[in-house]
Amino acid sequence: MKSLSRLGSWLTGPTGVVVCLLALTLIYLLEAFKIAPPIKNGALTASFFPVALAVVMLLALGGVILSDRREAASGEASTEESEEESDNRDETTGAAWRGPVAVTLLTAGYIALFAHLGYFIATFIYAFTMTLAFATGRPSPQALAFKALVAGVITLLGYGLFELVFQVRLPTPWT
Amino acid sequence: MDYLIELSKGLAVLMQPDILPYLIGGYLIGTFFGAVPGLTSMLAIALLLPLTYSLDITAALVACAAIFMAGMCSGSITATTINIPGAPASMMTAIEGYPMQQRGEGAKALGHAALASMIGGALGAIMLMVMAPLATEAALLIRTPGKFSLIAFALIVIVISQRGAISKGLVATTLGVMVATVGIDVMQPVTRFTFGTGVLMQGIDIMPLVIGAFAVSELLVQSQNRASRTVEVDAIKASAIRRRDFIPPWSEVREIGVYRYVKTAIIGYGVGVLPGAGGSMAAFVAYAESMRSSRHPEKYGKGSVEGIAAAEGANNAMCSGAFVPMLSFGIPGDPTTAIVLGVLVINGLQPGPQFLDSQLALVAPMFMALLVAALVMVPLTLYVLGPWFVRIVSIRRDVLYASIAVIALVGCYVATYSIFQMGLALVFGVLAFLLRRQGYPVACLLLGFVLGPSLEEYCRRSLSLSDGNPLIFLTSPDSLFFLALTGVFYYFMVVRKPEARQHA
Repeated sequence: MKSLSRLGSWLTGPTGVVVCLLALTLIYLLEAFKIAPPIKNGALTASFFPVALAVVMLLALGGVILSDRREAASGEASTEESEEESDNRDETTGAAWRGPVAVTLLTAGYIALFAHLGYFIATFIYAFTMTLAFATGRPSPQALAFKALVAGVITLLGYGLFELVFQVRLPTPWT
Repeated sequence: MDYLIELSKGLAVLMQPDILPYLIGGYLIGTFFGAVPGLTSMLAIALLLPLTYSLDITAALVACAAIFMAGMCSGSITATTINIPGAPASMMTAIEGYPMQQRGEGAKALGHAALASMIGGALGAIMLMVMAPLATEAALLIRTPGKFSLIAFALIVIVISQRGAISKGLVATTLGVMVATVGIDVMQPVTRFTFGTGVLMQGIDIMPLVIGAFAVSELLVQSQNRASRTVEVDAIKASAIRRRDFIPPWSEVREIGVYRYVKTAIIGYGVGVLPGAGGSMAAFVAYAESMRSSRHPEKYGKGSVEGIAAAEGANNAMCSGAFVPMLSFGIPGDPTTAIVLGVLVINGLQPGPQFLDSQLALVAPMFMALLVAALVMVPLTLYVLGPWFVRIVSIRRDVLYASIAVIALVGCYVATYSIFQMGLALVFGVLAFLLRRQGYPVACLLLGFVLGPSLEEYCRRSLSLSDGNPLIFLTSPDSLFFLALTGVFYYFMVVRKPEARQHA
């Protein structure tokens, strides 16, 4: 569990983001070369600009790596920490990530179920669970009832705004 | 003369009962989003974007202008009363306004902020109306290589204005341009980066990018905050202000002086015209200039009304300046005008040199909305809502963000009836969240996405004209002018600045 948390914080840390962007750029560059050679018979092709962009991106990422290393070197002395401190930091990082992971999963679930369950059911569940994701501490039964009421009001107001005011069709389970 | 007639017709359109509610509603929404810490007027305009599919274009533009103007001045309310700037552009106002609040002069500080916003916003709107036709005529002189160099200039200035994060700005901008290359090529009937899927054939729409980068990523950022309300209850009790104290004393207004009000409006407007600058820079530059030229610089930082007037006048004048490059050249200088450009593109309109001539009837109500919002809505909103403002913006975070999540995602769906677009919004949201966490400026991502296709088109057209010879960018006078201008900006913003710091 701890190693998973460490992997997550590395992936979303400065190095992880650069590595992800680097991988994305390399895939982009390979795909660009698959379109056509950048210059064919003396004329520019559809891959010329993407190849140029990928080169600029690689240079920019190089710049980011260099500045990150410079920053890390200047702050190295102050960041030496014990194993206990490191474990505490992992726990704090894990707690900080709970909210974003929950919101991402709830939103992904909402998108997946939106057309199948229809606007009313999907939105009510999403709004209710989102109020829980933004809650502080464990909610009491009264708080849960209030959140359900809020979710219902959000769902109805959303319906009023989109379907009645702007006259757009929202999905229903039977369409 | 025809231009003036069209502008007056614009005012008449603005006052029509089917358009006026969008000015008032837009202003109130902008005020709310600008004042609540964590929300921005840009997010409000982003949430409005999907609705523009089913909204009259004039109403949508009027609402955007009102939100933009409101967002700039409403941040001063929480900045002054509780020392939390609702918007980044109000940071300088917090420095001067909060000490006044602690001395029991909070209402007066808000009065000065509103007066400066009124004057700055109104002068900015007038300068926009006067300068826009001139900028349009200048835009007509620019040919294809010059257009490429102009867009390159805009993108480079956007990147180098990311102080301390130029490499990250370049990464974010390039990433935005890369996203824009997905779909059919701008010059040939060839698909790119569709990975064999039909859904990407049409390319990536601006809407999921805007919703993802500004709404979904904000939800993810805010989900890390464990506070229960946007503004804590203790702050409300400490921020009592009375309506009768809002009117600033005439002696202080005279001390600030007409010259300072006009100068800060010109600075704000000028900064707005520059790509990538925005309200914070406008406020900072005007504040610094005001302090430099003040007879009482020692008062700055301790509750100077001059400082408030400079910062607030400049950030409101900036709103109008930002529209100049967008309307005349089709080049948005900041994320808000990039979203307004999206509103126009969604409705089949492409700003450029001919745009003002052909679509003046459409744009004139928006110009007038900027003027009316500054002259009428700023003081009116402060007077009516001022005493209760901190109470209004102190709302439960769970209710607020659940509502924003629903509006953002359902808005994304109703714009195109596409679940795929909702999914894209989530993907861009997560990407923008990770970038934001590491200090990559997400605004650059949007500006790169918006300007990328034109950059590619003009680059390839220019090279086609010259049989692939890149020297065309140096032999074309307009192109050479913009390349030289890029060099000048680079020198002053990147090379000379560190030298100055070293000497200091």
